[in-house]
Amino acid sequence: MKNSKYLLSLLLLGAGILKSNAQTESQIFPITTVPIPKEIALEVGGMTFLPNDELAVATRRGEVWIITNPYMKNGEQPKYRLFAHGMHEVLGLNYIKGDIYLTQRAELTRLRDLDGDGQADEYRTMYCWPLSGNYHEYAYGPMLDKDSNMVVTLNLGWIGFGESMSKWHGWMLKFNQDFTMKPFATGLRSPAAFALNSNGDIFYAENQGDWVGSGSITHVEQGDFLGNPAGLIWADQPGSPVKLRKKDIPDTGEPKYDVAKRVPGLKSPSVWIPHSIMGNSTSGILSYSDNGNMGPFKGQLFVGDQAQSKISRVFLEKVKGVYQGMVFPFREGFSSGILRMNWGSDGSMLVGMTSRGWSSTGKEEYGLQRLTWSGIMPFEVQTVKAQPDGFELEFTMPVDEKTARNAGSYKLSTFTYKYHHIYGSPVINQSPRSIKAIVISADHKRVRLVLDSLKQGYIHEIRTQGLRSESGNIPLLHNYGYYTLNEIPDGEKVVASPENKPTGSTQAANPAQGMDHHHMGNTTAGGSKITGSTAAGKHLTKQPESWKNGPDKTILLGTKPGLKFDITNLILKAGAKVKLTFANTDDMLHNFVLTTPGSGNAVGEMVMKMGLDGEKYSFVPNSTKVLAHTALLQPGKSDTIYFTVPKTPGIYPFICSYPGHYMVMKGQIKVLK
Amino acid sequence: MLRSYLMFDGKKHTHVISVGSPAKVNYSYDLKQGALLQLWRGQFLDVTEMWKDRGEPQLAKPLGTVLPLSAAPAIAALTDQHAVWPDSISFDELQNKGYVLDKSKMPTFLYSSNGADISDKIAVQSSGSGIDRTISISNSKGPVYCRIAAAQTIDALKDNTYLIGNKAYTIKVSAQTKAFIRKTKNGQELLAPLANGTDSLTYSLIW
Repeated sequence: MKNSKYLLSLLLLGAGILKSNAQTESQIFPITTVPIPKEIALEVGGMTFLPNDELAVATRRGEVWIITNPYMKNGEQPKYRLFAHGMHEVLGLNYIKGDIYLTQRAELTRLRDLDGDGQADEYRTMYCWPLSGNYHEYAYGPMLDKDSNMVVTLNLGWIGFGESMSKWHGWMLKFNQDFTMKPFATGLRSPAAFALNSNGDIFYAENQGDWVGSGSITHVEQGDFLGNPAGLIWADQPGSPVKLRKKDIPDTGEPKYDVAKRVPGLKSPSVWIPHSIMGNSTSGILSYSDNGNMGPFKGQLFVGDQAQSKISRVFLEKVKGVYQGMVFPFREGFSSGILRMNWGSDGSMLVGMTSRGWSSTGKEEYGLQRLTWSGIMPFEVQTVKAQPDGFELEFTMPVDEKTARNAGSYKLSTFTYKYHHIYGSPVINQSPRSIKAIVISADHKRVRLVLDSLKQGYIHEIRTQGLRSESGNIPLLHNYGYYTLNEIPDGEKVVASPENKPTGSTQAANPAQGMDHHHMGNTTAGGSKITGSTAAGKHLTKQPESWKNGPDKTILLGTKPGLKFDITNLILKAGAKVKLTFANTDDMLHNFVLTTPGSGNAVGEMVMKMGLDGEKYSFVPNSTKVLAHTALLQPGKSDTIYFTVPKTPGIYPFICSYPGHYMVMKGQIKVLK
Repeated sequence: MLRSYLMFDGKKHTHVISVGSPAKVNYSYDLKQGALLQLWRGQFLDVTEMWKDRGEPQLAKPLGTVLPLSAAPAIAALTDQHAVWPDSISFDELQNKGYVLDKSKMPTFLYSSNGADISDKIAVQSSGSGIDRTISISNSKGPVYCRIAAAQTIDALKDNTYLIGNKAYTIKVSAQTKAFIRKTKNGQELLAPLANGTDSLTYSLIW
């Protein structure tokens, strides 16, 4: 991974694309790997610091390890000792009021070392909930809320769709100091993380799935229904503060914001985290409190992503009593799937990871890394605040007036997702926005963009590729982000005048082609946008009439849990006529894409550059490297295609080209003469 | 020691802990029933179906031939000593309190049901011949019973010893335990009463 990035940088330098003054993530926010002894499978499920600055880590294998000196101070290696073991997939760990608490599948547990030998000998069940026996019934937490209640969330089971097969799955629960349980909110699907923001309000991270068009973070209040109706089956139980019932929830595919307007109690996300671009599986949330030292972003939230091994940054503001805000890229390139983040005593961020069963961009099965800030000021959009007629961008350092004044430096568009029982959603109702006026503050640290119109309830993509800093003329470290506009603030609108008239014109965004380039941080070539395949010949769903004698070979391909095809090696005769049925029995979206020899990874990487409209094209890029493919399949669906095996013998890879899956979900066809 | 889902008698049990020992005697225990499900000798568990990929079945599998016991609760309040033994306790009628480990890392399970606090200590005999189980109750509001064994046939031998099933295993109760055999629809049961307030009983299971 490191070597290939290094090589890529060299190539870019050679091509003169990478300007020497451009900042890089790794220069400003270095990552250090905390070594893990070979015999320990540190599949991080939960992390917490203990008062003596030791780091306790709970694992999916049910262990709790205590790590001394994870900072590797004085050049010394960290030390690991086993504190507890034998629990059932621990996915949350927290040191609260002098004790270690955790959640395992069945319960909220307190661990104590009664005899002082350094190992837990009391595993106290504080609260136990039922389980149906489904693997997807995970539990997360606890976290202390601002009133000293413990907060826990329970995942829905998965049976081809999300289902609450045992009590309180799909719910956020609160426990008072006597461990009396109060159901707090439902509509959760896969609530792997939650945290308090600087005001003490609860935000939870949701993962794309059924009824969830894209990942997001949402402010949770008592009685909220957050979107997936499965948990509503318990809404009539004693203690439930949720008024909605399953029958109240329409399944129309309209935007969630619109449905929420007429279904009181349904809540739309505070900030959408656009799927496949900003991440695939929203995980840990860490509030940038005074405990952190991560650059000029205090008060914001850091949000991890398991599949893409990266961390986003979220600026929140409250408009008309409702949270909304902007998600920016922050740091990519972690070693495994990020699940947990904690502040170390020195302000560095400890990042705990696991990818087993859910592939991640970082190739390791698990890992522990430490993110630090070098002290170099990144040139970033620090905040974006909604205005009555547009947005105000605040920068970490003054912007160059000429580029800031130029409408061509920006590109804005709006879109949203469908709210329906189907897994995920394409990007819908996409349209470009144009800039009517640009007001630059006297100190050049704020730029107000006045738009032709704002679209309430929509995600506003804000690209700032042309901006440069006043000093050093450097480009932004990250030049795009997504603002979820739940409310439009009242206030004075800007009157167009010669002083605020933009130079140039807004970059044309063609909705038919969707967004243009998506820079994947600093490490991917900035170049051209990859468009989707429209070649019908690569997706034949009817037997060609010329196949008088039918197919020579019929193949039934399925999935195995953990992003795998059930067949990974096929041998076929050159020129053979093949009928292939791909049945997706997994709980995620998948497809089948056959590529030219040696092109499996290349095609997978192209998909990462397809941007917002990737799903519209089943994540199949328009490329000669793609020979045949199925549609993108919902869980439980199948697609039958017809193709002719190439005439040239060789090894032809096939992949699932869904963003990020190609690295593990792959196989090959050996073509023989 | 490992908590998992576990198949027993054709049913998936979700609140199960299995415990191994240096003597290579292992057992599984249903925490939601206070039930000693099974014993086996040899290696502990195959956890492939828990720890490989997503671990979809989440099932731990004993690595040995198990001696199946019962999924029914060990303790029940019976209206009289002829009342039928319950198959199970409903979820909310048994409150788990967790477990504590002794010096040799063997757990004592703690729970309350029928208003009584119960501790259930299962210790593997160092010889590897079987286990010693001590069930203690406190704060009980009425008489409760412990079902020590259920089988087609139970034969009382001398010295407070019982032969269970077709010589599947033997039970030896302590001298002060007022154990009795009773007939049921399906065979026989070995029961012992536990007095109001505070009481305990100990038995050994040898196989």
